[in-house]
Amino acid sequence: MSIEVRGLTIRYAGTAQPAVRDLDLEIGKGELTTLLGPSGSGKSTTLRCIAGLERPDQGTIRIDGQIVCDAARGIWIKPEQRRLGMVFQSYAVWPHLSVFDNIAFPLRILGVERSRMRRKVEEVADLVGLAEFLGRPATKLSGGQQQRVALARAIVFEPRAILFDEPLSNLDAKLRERMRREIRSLQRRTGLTAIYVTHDQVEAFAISDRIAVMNDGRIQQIGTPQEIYARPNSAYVADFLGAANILTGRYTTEAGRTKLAIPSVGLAIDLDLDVDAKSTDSATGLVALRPEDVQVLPSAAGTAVETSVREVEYLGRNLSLTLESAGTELRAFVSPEPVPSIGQRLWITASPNAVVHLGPATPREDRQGS
Amino acid sequence: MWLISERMPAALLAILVGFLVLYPLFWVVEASFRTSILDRTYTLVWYGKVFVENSAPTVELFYHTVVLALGSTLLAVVVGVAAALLVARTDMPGRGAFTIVFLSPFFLTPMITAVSWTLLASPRIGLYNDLLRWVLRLDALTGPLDIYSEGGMIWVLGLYLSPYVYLFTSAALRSLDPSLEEAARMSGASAGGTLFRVTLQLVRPAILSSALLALILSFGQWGVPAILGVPVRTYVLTTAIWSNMAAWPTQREYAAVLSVALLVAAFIFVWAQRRALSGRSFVTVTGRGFRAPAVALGRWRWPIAAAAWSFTVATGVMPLAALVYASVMSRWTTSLRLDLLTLRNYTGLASLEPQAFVAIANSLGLSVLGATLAISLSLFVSLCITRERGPLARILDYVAMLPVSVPSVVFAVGLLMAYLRPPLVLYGTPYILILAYVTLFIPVGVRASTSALSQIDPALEEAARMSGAGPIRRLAMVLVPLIRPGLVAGWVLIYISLMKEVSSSILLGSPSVPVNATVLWSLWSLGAYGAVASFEVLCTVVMAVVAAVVLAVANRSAFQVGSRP
Amino acid sequence: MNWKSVMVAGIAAAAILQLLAFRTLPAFATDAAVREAAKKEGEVVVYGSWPKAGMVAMADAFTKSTGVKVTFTNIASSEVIQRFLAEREASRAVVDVVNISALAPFVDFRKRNLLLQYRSPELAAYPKSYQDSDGYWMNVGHSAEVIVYNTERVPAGKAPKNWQDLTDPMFAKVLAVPDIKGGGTGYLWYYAMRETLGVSFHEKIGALKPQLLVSTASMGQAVQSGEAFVAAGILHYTGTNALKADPKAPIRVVWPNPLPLTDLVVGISSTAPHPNAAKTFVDFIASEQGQKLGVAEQGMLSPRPGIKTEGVPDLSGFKLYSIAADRLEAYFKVEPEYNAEFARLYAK
Repeated sequence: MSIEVRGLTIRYAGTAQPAVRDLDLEIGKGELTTLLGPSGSGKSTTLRCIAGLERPDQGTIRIDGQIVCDAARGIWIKPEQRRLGMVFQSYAVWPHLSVFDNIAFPLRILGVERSRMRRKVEEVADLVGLAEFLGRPATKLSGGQQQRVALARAIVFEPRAILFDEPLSNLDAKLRERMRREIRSLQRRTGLTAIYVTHDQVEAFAISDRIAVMNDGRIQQIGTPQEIYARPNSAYVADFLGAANILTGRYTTEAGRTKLAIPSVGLAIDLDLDVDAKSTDSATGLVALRPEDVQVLPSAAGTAVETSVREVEYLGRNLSLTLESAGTELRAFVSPEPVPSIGQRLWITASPNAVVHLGPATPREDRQGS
Repeated sequence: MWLISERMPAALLAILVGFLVLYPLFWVVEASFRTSILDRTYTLVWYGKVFVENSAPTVELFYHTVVLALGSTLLAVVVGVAAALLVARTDMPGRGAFTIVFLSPFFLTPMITAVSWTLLASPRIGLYNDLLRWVLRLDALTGPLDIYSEGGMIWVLGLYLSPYVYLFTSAALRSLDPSLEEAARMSGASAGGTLFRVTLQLVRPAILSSALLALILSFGQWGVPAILGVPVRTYVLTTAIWSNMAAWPTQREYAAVLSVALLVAAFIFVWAQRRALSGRSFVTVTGRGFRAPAVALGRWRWPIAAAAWSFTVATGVMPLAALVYASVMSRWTTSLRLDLLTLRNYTGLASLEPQAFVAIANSLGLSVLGATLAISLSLFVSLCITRERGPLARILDYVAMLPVSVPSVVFAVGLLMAYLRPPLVLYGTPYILILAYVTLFIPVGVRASTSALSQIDPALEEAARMSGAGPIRRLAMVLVPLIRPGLVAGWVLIYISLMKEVSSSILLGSPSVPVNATVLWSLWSLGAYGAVASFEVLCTVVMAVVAAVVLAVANRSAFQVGSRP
Repeated sequence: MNWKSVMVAGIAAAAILQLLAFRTLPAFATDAAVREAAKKEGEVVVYGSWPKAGMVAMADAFTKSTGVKVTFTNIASSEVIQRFLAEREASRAVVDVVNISALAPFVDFRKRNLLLQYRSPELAAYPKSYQDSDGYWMNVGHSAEVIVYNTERVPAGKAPKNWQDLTDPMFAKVLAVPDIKGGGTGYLWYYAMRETLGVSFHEKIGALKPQLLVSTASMGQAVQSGEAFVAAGILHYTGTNALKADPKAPIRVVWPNPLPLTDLVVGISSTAPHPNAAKTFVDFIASEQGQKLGVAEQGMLSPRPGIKTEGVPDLSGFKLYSIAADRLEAYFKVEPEYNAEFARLYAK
């Protein structure tokens, strides 16, 4: 394990809830792990604890086996001694220094000899595509270039790991995509262990080896992007990842076949497979139905349920429809042609494979994907 | 937030500043309970005298003090904010020169400013009164203006304090995100509406903060009410304190009780300001690298410029000019008498007061040293205040504001009592002056460095930390370069104030180190008014030249603070 | 010229200067043993409120004749008192000699055992009332409270000649008088006028709504500029010194009768670090040479018979009004009453 966090808890003065509670996290060498969650979920705080910029109330943190923080034993290594690179949301490029001096800063601190420093800075600048900007004042760069300076500064001193705190959220969409590819390829090439904090699930999917979805100061689910997407372990994760329709279903078994009924919409689905623990008699459970998995039919067929069109959004590759049935709204993605009109009747159904079973229902209402 | 100060001994710093400020104050409070200075018994009799026996005069004192303080602060805010808006937000012509002229009252001591104003607006000989009588064809020998009045005091003190408001407000205006104003314009607000509903609201923390400083400074102000209020028997707390100290038998204890009352009043004001500002984020005013576009004044451009320039010339340049004029006249007069022109006040200064030039040099040295120490200490205090969340930081914030709220006449007595005895016997050495100077101006330094620090994105320092830099290198390589303009401004403020400092210099100074204040006093007590004027002019020139050089050198490569696009 | 000849010339010049210095030295009476001890102490520390010029002249001459350095701090009376008392309170002995333009503090200091008993040999030349009966302080100078008027504002024929002339309505609002709160000068003037001319004098002056100023320096400034046409109760040297500096200055000094006198009193701290130097310096101040310097440089009036001050008329015909030590108690007893009376009569 390259980074290991155990029982991390931090509470800010004057707040009732801890920002992070009893969090465990293990990150393998050379792995890029993303902490994904909405603002206030504790992802940045967790990152800052690993960085050493926050001091947790409880828990231990190890980096490459070295204990950098053990609250119980009062062990605390200062951030400047942890040898971690960090890239900040606000770039934190120093306006009083040139690009070269910004990147060279950590090497100066280490007392690296001048010619080696120059070589190293040029090498890293080349890596991030800043070679021709080295002499410029940092303030004369664009946002993307400034973020590259920050990136170069974070890796130039060969840190034990690199931490990204929402590094791309101040950039425009196109640049964001490009930068995230560059960060990923740079991380792969350098083999640096990385922790990446974001609230953008698309970014998380694109960049991560593993994703830890955070909620209320805890990790809700951790796994590869594929695992998380395919098998979200809770309504929260399913919702956060895919704007899914979260519905309450009732499982019944008739003649060895399990059936799922979703009363709020009136949908009934035959499940061919055995849904292990969930398939107890009359058990209720939450299910997620992704918009792309809702099948929309122009006319009544089989068990399809009648709905009426509430909203139509054109997304280019497809249409997003908001459909209403018995007072419950559902979202569905369909092909862009033909465009249904508002109020038009459409029928929906869902294949058994598309349903994501999330486990026992909490007394929550059904929610439409947001 | 886990920054530089946590690993620094913040508690030690708090103890140091607490000691510097509270130890002399302790002696002020102690004096208020003493039977008399040589009698070490304690009594409440002085409190009885102030609040029971003389309750009516005390209430009147408080009334005049509050009227003067609120009135002059209000005037300072109106004038200071208007000037800041004109310079930082409009295309008024000659803004650079306007700034310099506008700040000129700041270079005179309050007492000399008041004396200059008597040349302009005293009922009989005031130049403005001569002019007004001539223009309005008035027959009277006196008036219509009378600087010796409550209104006169408010006028002179308000103008004297307006540069403080100007400096704080214009700094905030410069770093204001223009999109906030553009949003208001797009929402249908007029230029004026935007100004009042958005721009001024956004810089309100800076305005309130400088208003508080002005208010507290006006509470402790002695020179203006002494020259303009005492002749018409309008006493405020400071002049009452002074007259109790000057009287025989010396009513030091009575003065101490009044000082404690003033201290409590000032404390309440600081507390009220903190409450008014709490929850108000300064973050909208973080320094980012943009230059706000000027508001075009259109056809009002020249009329507004003319009005602004006339005002600042009449209120800022003329008192200085009156002083310069008096310094080249063989006698104290404002009448246009070319036959009285003389350079004797300059050429004869050295023979009249052999220490005059040594004193200017000493003041210069002590002020530079004092300002440097004060701003350095203030920087650490501000780091603690802005970065720490605990009660220690909050207490430090209050404590660091106290010295300005105590009239310097009394604070000097506290310093005297404090450093005469162990553990720190500094009396009789030049160190006591340095210590007094640092203590007195910690508040100004802390205001300046706190506002500079609060405009710095914490990530800039965290990035240095992650790059492996320890506290000293973070400070030297990142923080200080980043807030240099703010620190330099604070340094200049303190340096100028120290060049003009009177009370401590006179009570604590040693004869081997004469300073400006001691020379000014000896010239004044000799009745050598022309020499007072010429000496003050020389001091002002030295002060202004050094300040200008420091500002020019220190800010030559000034950059826009912040790193976001 | 090479460096040798420069040096020789320098030594010669120094020797000549030395000779000249000794030649101009009149003796002043000091006990020889005290003087010897003073030389060993080498320094005397003085806090004084007297106008600086006279004090500096005295100090220079003293150092020249005795080799004892004078460290002189020139501050206002109240600050002299503050420093002296604060030092004594903290048991930090710094000051040797204090001089204040008021007698009352010394009477108080004596009561508190803060002063050193010393009878200067020079005192023989002074009247008895100018010294403490036990030698704790001595009165070595006066300033007179006079009338100064502006000749450009007051026509020659209408110039005031005595206190009573000031009650003329023509001086309404153009008369400046000292504020009773402005330290000892203001109170002495109010008291002296009240005792000699009666309350009616203050009633009449108060009715003229005069300008109330807190220091003699402000009064001098007001009358020089013409803001006030006449200043009453102003210390005489403010006028005489201004005329000495600029004989064309548009002011005249009027010596009214009775003439209130403020005192210039000197005493030695009982914890003086340099007691012998202090004694020698007090001898020098009281000596003929010291008095002549004070009179010449700061225009003070000397209580020592036979020393005249330039610009001051013969005062033998005047009723000199000063508060002797034995009258101080009565003098201060009525202070609260007179303060209130002043506030009423001179209300704005």
